[in-house]
Amino acid sequence: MAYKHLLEIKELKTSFSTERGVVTAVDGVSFHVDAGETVGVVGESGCGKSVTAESILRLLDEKKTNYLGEICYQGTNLLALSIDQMQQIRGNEISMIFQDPMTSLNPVFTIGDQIAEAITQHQKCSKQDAFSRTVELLRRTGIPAPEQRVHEYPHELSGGMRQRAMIAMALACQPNLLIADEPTTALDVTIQAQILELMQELKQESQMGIILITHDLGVVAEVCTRVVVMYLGQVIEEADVETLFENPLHPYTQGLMKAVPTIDGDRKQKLHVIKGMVPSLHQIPQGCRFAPRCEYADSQCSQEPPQLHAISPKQKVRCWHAAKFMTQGEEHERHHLD
Amino acid sequence: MSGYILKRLLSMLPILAVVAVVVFMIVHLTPGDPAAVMLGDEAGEKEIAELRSQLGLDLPLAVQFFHWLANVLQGDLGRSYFSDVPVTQAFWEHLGPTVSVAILAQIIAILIAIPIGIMAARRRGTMIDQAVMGVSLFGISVPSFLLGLFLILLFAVQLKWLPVAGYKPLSSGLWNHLRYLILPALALGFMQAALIARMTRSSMLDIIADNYIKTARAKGLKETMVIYKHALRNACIPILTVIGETFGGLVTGAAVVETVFNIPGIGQLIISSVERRDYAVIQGTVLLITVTYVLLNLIVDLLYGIVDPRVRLNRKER
Repeated sequence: MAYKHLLEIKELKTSFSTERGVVTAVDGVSFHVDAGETVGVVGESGCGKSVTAESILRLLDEKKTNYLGEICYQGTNLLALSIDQMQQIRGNEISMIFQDPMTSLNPVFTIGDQIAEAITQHQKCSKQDAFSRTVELLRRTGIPAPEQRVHEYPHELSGGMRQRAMIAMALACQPNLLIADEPTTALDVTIQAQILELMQELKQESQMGIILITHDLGVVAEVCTRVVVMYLGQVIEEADVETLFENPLHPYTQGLMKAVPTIDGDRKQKLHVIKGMVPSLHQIPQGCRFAPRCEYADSQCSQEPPQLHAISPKQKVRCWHAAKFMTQGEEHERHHLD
Repeated sequence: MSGYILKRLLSMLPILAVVAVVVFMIVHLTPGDPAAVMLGDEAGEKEIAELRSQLGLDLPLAVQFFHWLANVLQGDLGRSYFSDVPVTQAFWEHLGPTVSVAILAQIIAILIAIPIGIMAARRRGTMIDQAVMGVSLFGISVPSFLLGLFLILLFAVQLKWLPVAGYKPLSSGLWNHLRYLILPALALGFMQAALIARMTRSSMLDIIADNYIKTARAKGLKETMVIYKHALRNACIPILTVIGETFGGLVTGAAVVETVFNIPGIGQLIISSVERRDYAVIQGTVLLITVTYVLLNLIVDLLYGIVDPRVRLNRKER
């Protein structure tokens, strides 16, 4: 294999020209995904998760969008490809599932048509073949009576069924990488669990890599192998899932963890809230981007932007004070690293 | 489905009743005596009175109305006072030219407007978009008779490519038929095209921002497929509404253009009937126009169901 990672994003900067000037929604994001692993991308709304995801498939309006950096898929920089070449990759090598299954399927075509379209777009096969494969895909994604469902329109299916149909569509050409942008956010909790389980099963069958974008840390803990935490267009922490949950180093990650309600412990205690709101992209703080909301911020934080640095082989963080939050064991590991 | 159509047809009855009353009243309340007009300036009072009683015009209005209504319900719209042919026959004879012009105008409008509207939506904010919007504003504002006169000046008088005015039926050969229709159809279709192009643009702009368009792109579809298959089908409903509404207008309201181009259509029939105080023709024609208009709307509504499956479902439930 000529490439190191299935997908490697290097210093990606995605900016939009708007009426109020140029806005950089993703500012120097780097991470990678290997085959068979699920990487979670976590953060509040507006932190650049979805823009990162849509940058990978280049789904943003390119007249108004400017990309810098590299997105290497199997060693090829996707940002350098022509639109025709990108169309060969979309839905074939890399697929995407979107947040809202209610609006992500075209209301005027049957789900069978929409799934079969993905197959015939990329593979030479007859309409009957595409159709029978569609039925098979629907069966594999757990849709009951797929022979009938295949003829139904999106509005005739429930939310969970629609998301299953979306997954079937995404998997139609056996992609190597699946980008799931908040795939369970719009669904009931019980359906969420089923969909996540389905994605896990399908991943094990096919060894594809998954990028799971979510703001739900519970989902991350359940299915991800590695986690990238984003804040205001930057990666502020990256670690494998155990390390991150045991020892979150960035105050923002810590805040996110504390903001998850738990059933045990003192329930009278108020739920932790990260103070303030994600600032607008027009008013990016000068130093550390999280400084205005951080309880540990000092003068260095508000003046100099920290860099993402490796604290241990398993963990990177973008914080001046990360060392303070480390436990003994990690300190030891870090000495080894130095 | 058939139940729905039946319901819609029944709901036409009150509309037609109102139109019948209004038409009947307006015609009789306007000054001018048909008997006097028919007999000319030289007729004496006695002759006029005789003709009035012969036509039933001396009866009270209410009685006249019920006589007329009773006949209408039996499918008899009366006879023209002037030419003595049944009103229905006169209507059918004049419907052909009008429908020919309307269909050609509509085809021209659709063929021009939809691609242009889509182009403007895809290049929103560019010079092309502004040009399309500007020209279409012009198209909506310029009266069709003025445009018709300019077209005649340019293509008929100056270039001599097409006849100035008149009408040849389809039986005289397709090209001969079309030759006479092109200019009036352009004059009528330009405004149609402007309306449809604007609606296509705004409807496409809405749809292009929808999530399923992103899904279609993420599938790896070519941009032309995304736009012309996935987006256009969804944008069709509002476009279809505009087409339906304005097509009704083309069939029923082309009077001015028909006059400019001297086409023996419904518009001319109405105008000449008004000049002659030919009550029976005015009443019958307006009533039949109303029926046509309502039927066209019904057809458009049925087309919605073909374009959008969600409309079909609602109907099943109703």
